[in-house]
Amino acid sequence: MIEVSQTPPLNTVQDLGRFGYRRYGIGSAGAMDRLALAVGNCALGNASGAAGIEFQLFPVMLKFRVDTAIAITGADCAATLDSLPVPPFWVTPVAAGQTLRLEAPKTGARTYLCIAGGIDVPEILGSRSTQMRDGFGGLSGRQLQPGDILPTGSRPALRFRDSFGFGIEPPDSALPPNAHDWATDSDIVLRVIAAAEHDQFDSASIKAFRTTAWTITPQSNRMGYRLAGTSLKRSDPTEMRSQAIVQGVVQVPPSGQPIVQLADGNSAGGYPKLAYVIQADLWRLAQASPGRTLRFALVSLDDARRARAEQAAYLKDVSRMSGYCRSQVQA
Amino acid sequence: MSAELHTIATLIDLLRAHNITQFEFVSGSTQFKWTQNPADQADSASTERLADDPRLTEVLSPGVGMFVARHPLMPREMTAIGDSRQRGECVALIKIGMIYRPVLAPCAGKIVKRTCRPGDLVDYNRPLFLMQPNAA
Amino acid sequence: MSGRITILNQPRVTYCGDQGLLLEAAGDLELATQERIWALNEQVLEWGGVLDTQPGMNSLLVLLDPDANDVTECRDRLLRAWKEVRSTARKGKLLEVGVVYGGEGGCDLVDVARYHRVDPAEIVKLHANAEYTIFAPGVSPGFGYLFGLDRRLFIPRRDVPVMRKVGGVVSIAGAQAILGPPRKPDGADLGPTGWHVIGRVPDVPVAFDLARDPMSLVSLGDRIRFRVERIEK
Repeated sequence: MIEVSQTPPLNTVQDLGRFGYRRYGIGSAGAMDRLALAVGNCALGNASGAAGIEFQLFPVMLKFRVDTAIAITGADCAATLDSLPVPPFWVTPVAAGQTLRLEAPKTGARTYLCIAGGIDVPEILGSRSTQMRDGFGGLSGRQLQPGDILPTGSRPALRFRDSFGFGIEPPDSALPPNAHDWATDSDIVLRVIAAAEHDQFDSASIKAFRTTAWTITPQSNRMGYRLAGTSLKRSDPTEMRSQAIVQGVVQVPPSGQPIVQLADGNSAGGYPKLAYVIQADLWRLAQASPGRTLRFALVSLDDARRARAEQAAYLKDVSRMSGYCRSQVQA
Repeated sequence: MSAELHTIATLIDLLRAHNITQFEFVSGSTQFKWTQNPADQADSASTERLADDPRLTEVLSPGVGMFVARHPLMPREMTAIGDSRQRGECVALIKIGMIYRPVLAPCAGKIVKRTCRPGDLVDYNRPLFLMQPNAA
Repeated sequence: MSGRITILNQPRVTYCGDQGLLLEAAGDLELATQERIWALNEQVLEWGGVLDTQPGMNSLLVLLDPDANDVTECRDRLLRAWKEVRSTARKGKLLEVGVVYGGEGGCDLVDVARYHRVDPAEIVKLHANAEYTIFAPGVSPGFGYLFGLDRRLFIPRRDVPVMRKVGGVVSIAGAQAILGPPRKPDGADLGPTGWHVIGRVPDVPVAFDLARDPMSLVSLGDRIRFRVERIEK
C-alpha cells in the first residue's frame, strides 16, 4: 500500500496499455516508456505488464504503509529513500513507514515506480492503464492527487542478497545506441519506417525529414509530440479519409510541422502519415523533453524486428539476472 | 563472473599485496602478463600508510565484480574525496554482467581516499575506500 | 488544401507501425465497399495472433502480436482476403436526433454556407435530408464517422484547428460527418477540432457507458437521421 503524500499533476497509474477496444474509439494509453516499466517489473519478478506509476512532474513524495519491494526506472530523479540516495534503475526492499522522494530529472523525462505485486487498482477493459480523456482506468480514471492511497497486489515477501538492493544496467547503455556520424551527441536518433503517404511528399520534404534536427516543442505530451523545423509539403495535397492511428506514427498536418502520435493520442484521424517510429525506439522518445532535438533514421522492417528481438533478450536477461539478487521467501 | 576472471582478480590482489610490480606467466598456449602502473605504486604506498591509521575505516567490496565509480545515467562519480556520507549510503557500485551491487559506507564519515580505480576487477572484501568516521 | 479526396485505383496494404497493417480499398466511399470492410474485419478477428483491428473510412487497421504473426506474411494474406471477401449486408438500427442548427451551438454554419455560396437554410436542408450510416469508430467512444453527406456539402478540413464547445456537436469535414457524444460531467467545455460545427443536438444520448450492456449504444452499420428542430441565427 502506497500513500501519495505529495504530487504535482500528470502522474498516473499505467501498465503496458489497453488493446482490443479500438472498435469503441478507445486507444491504448499505457506507459510512455514501456521498456522502463517492463524492466522494473521483470527485476521485481512481477509480470512485465503489472501496473506501476508513471511520473512526469516532480517533486513527488510517497510513503509505504507495508514492507515491500520497489523498482525505480526511467529517468534519474535523484531518488532518496528516507534521505539515503537511490541510484537510477534500482530495485530495493522498503519497510513500512519509509518515505521515497523523487526530484525532477536533469536528463530524461519520465520515471517509473514498480512495486512487488503491482498497483492493484481495478482492471477496466483488460488493463489498469489510466484513460484520462475518457475518465476510466488506473486510479478512478484520473491523475494522482496528494492523499491518494494506492493498493498493491499481494506477493510473498522477497529476500534480497544485499539489504540496499541492486541495480540493473539501463537500456541506454545495455542496448546499442542509435549513433550516427550525422547526429550530434545531444540529438536523439529515432529509427523510422516510411508510412503510406511517404511518397506523396515532395523530394525536398522527404530529404528535410531525414536531415533536419527537429526540436521538440513545449506542446508535447502523452497525446503526442509536436516538432518544429522545416515545413514539409506534399506534391499534390489531397484530403484524406479518416483512418486508424497507431502510436509512433509521424503525421504532417497542413501546418507542415510533424506530430508524433503517442500513448494518449487519438485512435483515428485524417492527416497524411509520413513515417512511423519503430516500437523499439518509442522509449527513447518518451525520455526526450521539450527543447531536445530529434533526428530520424530510415530503416527496414528487418531492422525493426532485430531491435525488438534485442529488447526482448535484454528483458529476459533482466529477469534471469535479477533472480540472483532477490528471491521469494517460501511460506 | 567466470572462474577464470575470479582467479585473475585474486592473483592481482596477491601481487599488489606483496608489492610485486611485474609478473609474467607462460604455460603452453596460456599467457598472462601484468605490470603495476607507477602511479599505483605511489597510491598503494600511501594507502598502506593510511590503512595503518587506526582512526580510518575501510569500505569493502560486497563481492566479486568490476568497480564502478559513476552510474551510466549519472553525470558525475557517486563519491569524491572529501565527501561526507551517511552510514549505509551507497558510495560506489560493483558490476557483474548487467547487475550492480551497492558498496555501502559502514559508518557516517568523510571519504579520505579511494583505493581502487574504475574498471578494476575486485574481490569480496577488497578495500575500495578509506573513511574517517565522524567523532562518536 | 484543394478539397479533392484521395482515391486509390488499386487496393493496397501498407505497414502501419512495425506490428500493424493498413488495408486501403480502391475507389470512392461507398456502402458496398464498407460492408466488405466490416466483413473482412470479422474474418481477421478470427485469425488468431491479432491484438486489435479498426475499420476506417475505406480502410482497415490490423494490429498483430509480433510473437504470433509476421507482418510481412500477413500483408499478403490480408490483401488476398480483401479481394475475396464478400459483404454480409446488414441493416443497422436507426437513431433519430433533433438538431438546433446554427446559432452559438452551430457557429460554423454561416461560413459553410458562404463557402458553398448558398443560404444557411439550404445547407441545413441538404444535411438533414440525408440518412447517415456509421462507417467506422471515431476518435473517442461516440457515434463514429458517418457516411452519407451530400456531395454538395463537401468542405475541406481546417488547416488550423479551432476550439469549439463539446457536447452533441453536428459537424462536417471532407466527405464525412459526425455526431459528437454528450459532454462528460467533469470533462472539458471546449475541444480543438479541424471540422466545421453546423449544429448541436441538445439531448444527445450517451453513446458509450462502461456500466451498460452493451457498452455502446450503436454499432457499425447503424444509421442516423438528423431532424431539424430549428435554425438559429
